[in-house]
Amino acid sequence: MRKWGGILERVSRRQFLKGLIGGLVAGGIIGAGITYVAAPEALRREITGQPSPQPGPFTPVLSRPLKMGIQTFFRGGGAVLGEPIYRGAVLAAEEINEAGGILGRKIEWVARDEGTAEESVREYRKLVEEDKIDFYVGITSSGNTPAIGPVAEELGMITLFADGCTDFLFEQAIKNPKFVFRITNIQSADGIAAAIGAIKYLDLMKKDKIRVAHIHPDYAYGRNAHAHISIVLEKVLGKDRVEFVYEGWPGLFRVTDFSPYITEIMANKPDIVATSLWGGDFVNFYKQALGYGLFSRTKLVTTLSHGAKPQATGPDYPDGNVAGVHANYYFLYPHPETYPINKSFVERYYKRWNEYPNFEAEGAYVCVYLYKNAVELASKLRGGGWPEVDEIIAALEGMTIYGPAGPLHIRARQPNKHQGYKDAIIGISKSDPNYGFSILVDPLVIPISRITVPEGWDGTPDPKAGTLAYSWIRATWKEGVLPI
Amino acid sequence: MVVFEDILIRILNIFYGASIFFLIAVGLNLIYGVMKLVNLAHTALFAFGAYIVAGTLMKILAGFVELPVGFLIVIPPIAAGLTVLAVSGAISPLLTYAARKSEDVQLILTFGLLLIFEDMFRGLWGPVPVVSNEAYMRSGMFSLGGSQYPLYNIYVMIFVGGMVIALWLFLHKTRVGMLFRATSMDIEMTSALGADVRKVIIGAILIAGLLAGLGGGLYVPAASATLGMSIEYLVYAFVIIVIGGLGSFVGSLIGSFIVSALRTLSLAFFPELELALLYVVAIAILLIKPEGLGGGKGW
Repeated sequence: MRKWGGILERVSRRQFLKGLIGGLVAGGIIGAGITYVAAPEALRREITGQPSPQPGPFTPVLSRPLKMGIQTFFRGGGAVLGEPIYRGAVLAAEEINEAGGILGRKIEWVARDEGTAEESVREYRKLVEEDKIDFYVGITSSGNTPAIGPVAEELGMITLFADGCTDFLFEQAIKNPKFVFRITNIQSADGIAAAIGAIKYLDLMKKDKIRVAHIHPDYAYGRNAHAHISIVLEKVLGKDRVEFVYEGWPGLFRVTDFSPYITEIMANKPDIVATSLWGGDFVNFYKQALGYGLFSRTKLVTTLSHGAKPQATGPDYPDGNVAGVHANYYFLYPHPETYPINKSFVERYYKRWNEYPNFEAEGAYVCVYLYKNAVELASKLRGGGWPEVDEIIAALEGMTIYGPAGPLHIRARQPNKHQGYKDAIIGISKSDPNYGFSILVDPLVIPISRITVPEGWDGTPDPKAGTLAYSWIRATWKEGVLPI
Repeated sequence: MVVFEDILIRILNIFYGASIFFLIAVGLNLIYGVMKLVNLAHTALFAFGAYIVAGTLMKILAGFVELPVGFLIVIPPIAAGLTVLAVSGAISPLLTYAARKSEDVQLILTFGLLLIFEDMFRGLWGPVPVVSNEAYMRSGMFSLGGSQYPLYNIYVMIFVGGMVIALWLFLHKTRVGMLFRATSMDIEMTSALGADVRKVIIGAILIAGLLAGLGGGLYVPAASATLGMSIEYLVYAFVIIVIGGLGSFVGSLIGSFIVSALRTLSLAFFPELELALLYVVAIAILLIKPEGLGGGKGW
């Protein structure tokens, strides 16, 4: 008792009252401020006296526009592939805005650079924490999706990867994703499609012996393509018929003079040359190879010869080589004359950006429309109003959308939950005077379910190749049989 | 089964690679010789030459009537060489400044200059590789038994072979060349004997620039002008000057040849170890004969 009395005695009553009232006022102001900032919209409207809008299926629920974050390569060797992500997403956003937005909300966008894994994660965080985006579309490189994925889960941001297709993402980095989705086909499908294309177009089943040379960029994608091309060739043609005569591993965008590689490949006299070189590497390689007469002696089997900007594969690119588009979209399939969604996409994209769309552009375009569809469905199911993030996610899972490439399905269950699946394309190259570049013709449409691990398969990733697909092929594909 | 033509083609590739390396290495060594400066920005001048031809000159020429191949293989590289000569002149004050500083400052200054150049390439010519293969394609190829070899590469080797002879004659048979060699060996004595060593230094910078630009212009029809090319070739140039020795003409030749040979052969037998092998050899040379295989002999 005496202690308390002591304290009170030091402070005079006047001072005490001043302090008490001051504290109450200050506390009240601070408290009101916090409440205002943190309050849900409804409470905020009550405080400021704005009329709250009546909820309904398509009436504007928030006047604030929707903010989309885009992240991709705007410079360097990856830009040829990556910048179209920005272009596809922006085209979709502009179209949606023209038609009134998503539930009346217009889409604004902010773009940041993709780079190394550390740089990309840093820029991703800025998009979420500083730019305050509502949803995210982006990423080209498979080095970056496994780095950004866990951060997306931590920050709780709906993240639609337009590429960065490594199997590693949903098989090991984030096995049970909540916020992360991926629209382009899984990477292993790429090498598998190329190998199937080689077998079909080049009639490899009829040959006694097939000599195969490999040249791939030395990073995860190149390794993945190499592994899956090899195992498909071995399984379908038989190990005793296939001979791997050379393997070249130039660093990604590190080599401009491929002549030593080309000479080595030719010295080993391969029947086919399997390659996942892309972008600037691929252009350098094929132009130099022309000088050495590679194409008159062997056929090229590519995962990405026609997948970067379509016009990058010049009219001098020889006909009759297996043309890959990363097992995804090519602007001529489904043919625009037969499929209005693709017709509209190609025409509008060309008009907007003065070039033909590649699979990255189509992927990003579909990301935005997928988000729109999911928001609208979730809104309808809850009886109107802007849906919660959980509701949007629930709508995304298992959703099928018709994009320019045809139907795309978002898987809802394991393995590879939240991975997108659409039929894969592989073709043959042909120089076309109407377009002025080499195009993909005779497309072979491979049902995606034939070349990817199905829902419910419970194997483990192959320790060496690192993918479920590799184990699945080894365990379930029949020897000597083409799975389509 | 090893066929004669396969071996011959590999040898040709080694000479071709060495030709390009030489044009870069000799300029680097020339500058080091007279200024004792390792100019890390030198390979950016090589890339500049490539970009000038592919990105600007060929685009302008494309508007004209179809030019004869002979014109296309000679004029653009020379034009690139002269342009880069002018650029070297422009940056020479920076180089002479750096030469007076300690090595760490030199490193930072010249490497920073390289990075500035790379950014300039991106700004002027964009982030995507610039291709201009007309000269290469139209030169055609010749048959070697069952194989083929591009004639353009042969032309480059002959051109550079001529440059090697011309440079050697310049250095050893002309008075100005003697001044260069003297300045490399002992700059104070040369200056004391009345020579204007500042002119020699500027001359070295200009000639090095000319050769680098020429190299880039010759190289680009067979490849492309890409961002990061400066660094790609800097990595090789490093190993070349270690193996061949700094400030040595003969060293430039030896170093270029050995590095090209190592590269070609490692790609034949241990493709994944290419760069590692080069650096292992460089380290070995540093341990056994630090002045390099051609070094210590001067010019």
